[in-house]
Amino acid sequence: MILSNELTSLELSMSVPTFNDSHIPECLKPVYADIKTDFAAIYGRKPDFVTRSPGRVNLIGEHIDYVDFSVLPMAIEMAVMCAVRVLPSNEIPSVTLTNADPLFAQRRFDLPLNGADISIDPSVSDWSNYFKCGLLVAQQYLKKKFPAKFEETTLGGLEVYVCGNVFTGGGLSSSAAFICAVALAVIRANAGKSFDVPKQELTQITAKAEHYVGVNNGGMDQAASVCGEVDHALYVEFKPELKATPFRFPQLRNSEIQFVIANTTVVSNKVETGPVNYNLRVVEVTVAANVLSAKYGVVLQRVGNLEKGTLREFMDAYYGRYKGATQPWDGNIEQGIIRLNEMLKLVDETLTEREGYTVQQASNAINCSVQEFTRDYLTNFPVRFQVLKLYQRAKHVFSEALRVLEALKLMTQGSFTDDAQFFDAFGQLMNESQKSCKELYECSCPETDEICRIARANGSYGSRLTGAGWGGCTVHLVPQSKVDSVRNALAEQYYAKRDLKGLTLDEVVLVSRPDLGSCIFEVS
Amino acid sequence: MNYRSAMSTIPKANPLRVGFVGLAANKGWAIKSHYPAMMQLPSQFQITAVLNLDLEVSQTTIEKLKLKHAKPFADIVSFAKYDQIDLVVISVNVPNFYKLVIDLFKYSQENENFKYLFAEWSLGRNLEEAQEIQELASQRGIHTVVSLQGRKSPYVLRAKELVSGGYIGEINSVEIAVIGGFYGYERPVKSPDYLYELESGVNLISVAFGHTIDILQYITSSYFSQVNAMIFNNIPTQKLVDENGKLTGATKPKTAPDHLLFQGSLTQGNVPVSCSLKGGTPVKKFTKNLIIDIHGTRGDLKLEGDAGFAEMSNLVLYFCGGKPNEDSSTSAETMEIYHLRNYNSIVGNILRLYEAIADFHFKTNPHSKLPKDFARQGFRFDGFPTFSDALEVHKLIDLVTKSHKSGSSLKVPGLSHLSATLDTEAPQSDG
Repeated sequence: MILSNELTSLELSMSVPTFNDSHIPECLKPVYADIKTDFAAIYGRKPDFVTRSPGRVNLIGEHIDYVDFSVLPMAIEMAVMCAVRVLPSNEIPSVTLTNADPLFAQRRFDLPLNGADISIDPSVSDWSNYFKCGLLVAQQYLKKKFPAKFEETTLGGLEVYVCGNVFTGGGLSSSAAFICAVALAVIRANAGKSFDVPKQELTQITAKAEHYVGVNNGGMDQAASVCGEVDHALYVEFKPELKATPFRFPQLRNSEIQFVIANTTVVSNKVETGPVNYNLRVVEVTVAANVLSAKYGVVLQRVGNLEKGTLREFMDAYYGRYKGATQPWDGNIEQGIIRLNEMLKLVDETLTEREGYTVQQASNAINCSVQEFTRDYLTNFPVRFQVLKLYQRAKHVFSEALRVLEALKLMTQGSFTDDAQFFDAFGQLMNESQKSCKELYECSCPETDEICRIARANGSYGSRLTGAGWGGCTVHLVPQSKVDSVRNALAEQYYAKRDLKGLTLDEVVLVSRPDLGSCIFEVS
Repeated sequence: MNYRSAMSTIPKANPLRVGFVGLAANKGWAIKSHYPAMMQLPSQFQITAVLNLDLEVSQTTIEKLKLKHAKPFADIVSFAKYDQIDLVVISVNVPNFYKLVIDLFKYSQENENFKYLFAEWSLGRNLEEAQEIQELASQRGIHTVVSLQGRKSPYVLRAKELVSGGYIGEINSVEIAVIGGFYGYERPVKSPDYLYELESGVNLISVAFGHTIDILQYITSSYFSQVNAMIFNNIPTQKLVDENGKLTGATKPKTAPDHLLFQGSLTQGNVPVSCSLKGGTPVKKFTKNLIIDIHGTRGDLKLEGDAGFAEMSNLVLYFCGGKPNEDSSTSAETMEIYHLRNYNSIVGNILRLYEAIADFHFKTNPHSKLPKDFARQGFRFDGFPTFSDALEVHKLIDLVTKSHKSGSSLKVPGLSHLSATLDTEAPQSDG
C-alpha cells in the first residue's frame, strides 16, 4: 500500500503517530482520561497504552472497493479505543476483553503457546471474533517482521478494555475501526514502544482481516481508518496498488462544506445478513465480470475476492483486446471516464436477462456446467438467492465508479464560479449514487430513502446511504448555514416517530470534520 | 446464525475443573481438538488433573502446556478420588475405555464433586459395554456428554434448520455414501493394530457409520424403524505403506469390515434411506468421499465433504427449494450454498460441544431452555449429546450386525418409548 502526499501541502506522517501523556490533542483529553480510569476500575491497574482507530464515512463510491474501483471516504471523529496492559511473560498468555457496552459481554481466551494461529468460528456472531481477526493479522505480521522472536512462540497475554462510539452495524465501519485498533495494539504490545508502525503496513494487513469472519469486503474502511488526516478526505485506490491520497475540501467563497451523518437506527450486520446481502453482491459482480468476459472472449486473471476476476479487470482485458491498450487503466481520470462509459454500453448490450439469471442461465452465459459454476462462484462464502441480478449490479458498479471520478474532479478543482456550482454538482452525484444503490444495487431501505428525502427538502444538496447499506447511516452534503435546518427537520419528521433506544439527537445526527486516523497513546 | 455477543461467557462462578484422561502434549486426538477448544474457554474450563498410564507423560504434558493448576496422575484410583475435579474428560482408545470407566465409577464413589463425564464416541466395544456404562452413569446421577460432535457442526445445524423449517417439504428419500479411511487395500505402518481387529469395536461401522447415521437422524429428527445390512470383508490382508504413502512390501491381516451396505426406513414418514460405506483406498475418482443427499417434496439438500468424516470435516451444504406455505408454482426456487472457508472443523465442532456444556452448567445462554435434569439431547437444537443418545446409535450398530448375520430385515425395538420422547422443539429462526 502507498500513502501518497501528492494532493496536499501537509507533510504526512508515514507511521502511526504516538502521543505521550503530555501532548495529547486537546479534543481527545477527556476520552483518554476516561478510558484510563475505566481500565483501572476493571483490572485494578493502569494500562500500558491506548490505541485509537476511527470510523469513516464514505462520501461516494459505494460497493465498488471489492471490484478495485477507487472511493472517496474520510475518517470521522467517532472511534474505537483499546486500552491495553501487557501481561508479564511468565504468566499464561491469556487475553481478557471487556467492552464498555454491555451488549458485548466479557470474553477470555488463551493464546496457543507455540505461536500457532488461533481459530475463528465464522458461523457464530460474536464480537470477540473481530478481535481475533485483528490479532491474527497482527501475529502474522510480527512473524514476518521478527521471525526469530515470533515464529514459534506465543504472543504476550493482554488485558483489554474496549470503548467505542462508532455505531455498530451503522455503516460507519465500526468493525474496521475495531480491527485496526486491535491490530495496532497487538503490534505495539509485542514489538514494543520503540517500534514505529508504518501506516502502509497496518492498512495492508488489516484490509482483508474481516474475511476471517466471513465478510468478503474490500479495503476502503481500513485505509480510511488508518490513514485519516485532520481536515482531509481520502482518495483511496486499489489498482494498480492499494493507495491512499489525503486531500482538503475546496475552499469556497461564502460557505463551508459540511457532511452531515444521520443514522437510520436500522442495524445492519454484514456478517449476519451476508448470504443474502453483502456477500451475494460480491458474487453477483464477479459472475457479471465473467459473463462479460465470456461474451467478448477475454481471459481474466485470478484476482479479486473470489479469485475469479473483477469488473475492473474485464475493462482492462477488453481494452487490451479491442482498443489496443497496452497497459491496464492507471487511474487517469479522463481516460477512466471514456472507458467506464464504454463499459456501460457493453453491460446494456450483453447482460440482457433484466429479471435476473438463474444458476442455469448464468452457467450457460459463462459456458460452464452448473456444477462448475457452483464450485467456482458459490462456495467461497455462504450465499442464498433466487436469481443473480447481473445487469443491475454491473451497471451500478461502472456508473458509481464513474461518479467517483467526477467527484474527485470537483474536489480537486481549484475554483468555482460560485459556491452553488460545487454544491449542485457534487450533490447531484451523491443523489445519483443513492438512486443507483436503491434501484440497481438494492442495498437501500425505506428508512434511508425517507431520511434522504427529508434532508434534501431542508437544505441538503446531496443525500445518500453510506457504507454497505441495508440500514445504517446516511450522509448529506450541507453548507454550514443549513446544518441546523437539516438537523431540525430530521428530528421532527424522522426521529420523533422512532424509538431512539436511549440515544440523543446529537448521537444519531453527527457533523464530523475529517479526523485523524489510527494513533497510540503511551501511558506514562 | 448463532448470536453470542451479548451472552456472558465469563461466569461469576469458578470454572469447571477438568480431570483429563488421555491428554498428552505430543500425540493423540485430545491435543489436537479438546485442548485447543478448551483454551478458548479458560473462564469456564480449567484443567486440574491429567491422567496417563505413564506419570512422566502426565508431568511433561502439564509442563509443556503450562497447566499450572493441574496435578499429574498415573493411576485411576487416586485420580478418581481426587476431589478437585468436576468434569472428567476421557479420550483414550475405545478398547481401554470400558475398564477405565468401571474403575472411575468404582473409586470415585466418595467423590461428590464429580458431576460431568465427557467421553469420546464410541462408548465401549459393543452394545453390552455401552449399556452398562450408561446405566452406571445414570444411577450415579451425573451428566454425561458423548463426542458425537457432528451434531454441533454448523453444516449439520443449518441442514437441520432447513429440514425442520419445512424448506424441503416432506422427505422423500435419502442416500448416503461414505469412505471410512483405513479399511481399504492399504494401511499406514504406524496405524495401531486394534483398529483392524473385529473385537476392538472400532471400525468402519462404529466410526464412519455411527457418526454419519447419528447426524442423519439428528438432521431429520427421526430414528429408524427398520434396518437391513450386509457387511463385507473382501480385503482380509492389507499392504503397509510408509509416511509418504509408499508400499513397504509388508502386509498385515484385517478382520474388521471393509464395506457396509445399509438400508432402512426412518420412523417419520417411512422414508427410505440407502447407504454405502466404502472402507478406504483407493478413494473414489469421480465422487466426493462423503455425501448425504436428502430429497424432499419441495426441494433437495445435500452435504458433501472431501474427507469421509462428517463429524470433523469442513463440509459444503447445497440447498434448493422453496419456503413453506409459499405457492411453489409461481415463485422461483431459492438456492443456498453454505460453506465456511476458514472454519476449523476439527477444533470447532468440539469447541461447540464445550460451549454447550458451559451454557448448560453456568446457564449463560438465555435462549436455551434445557431442563435441570436434562438426560438426553434427542433432536433438540440446544444441549449436547449424552450417553443416552450414544446408546441409540449403539443399538442401531448392534442391529446392523444382527441383520447381517441373520440375513434379514429387522424392526428397531423400543420405538414406542422413543417416539413418545422425541425431544424435538420448534425450529430456530432462519434469519
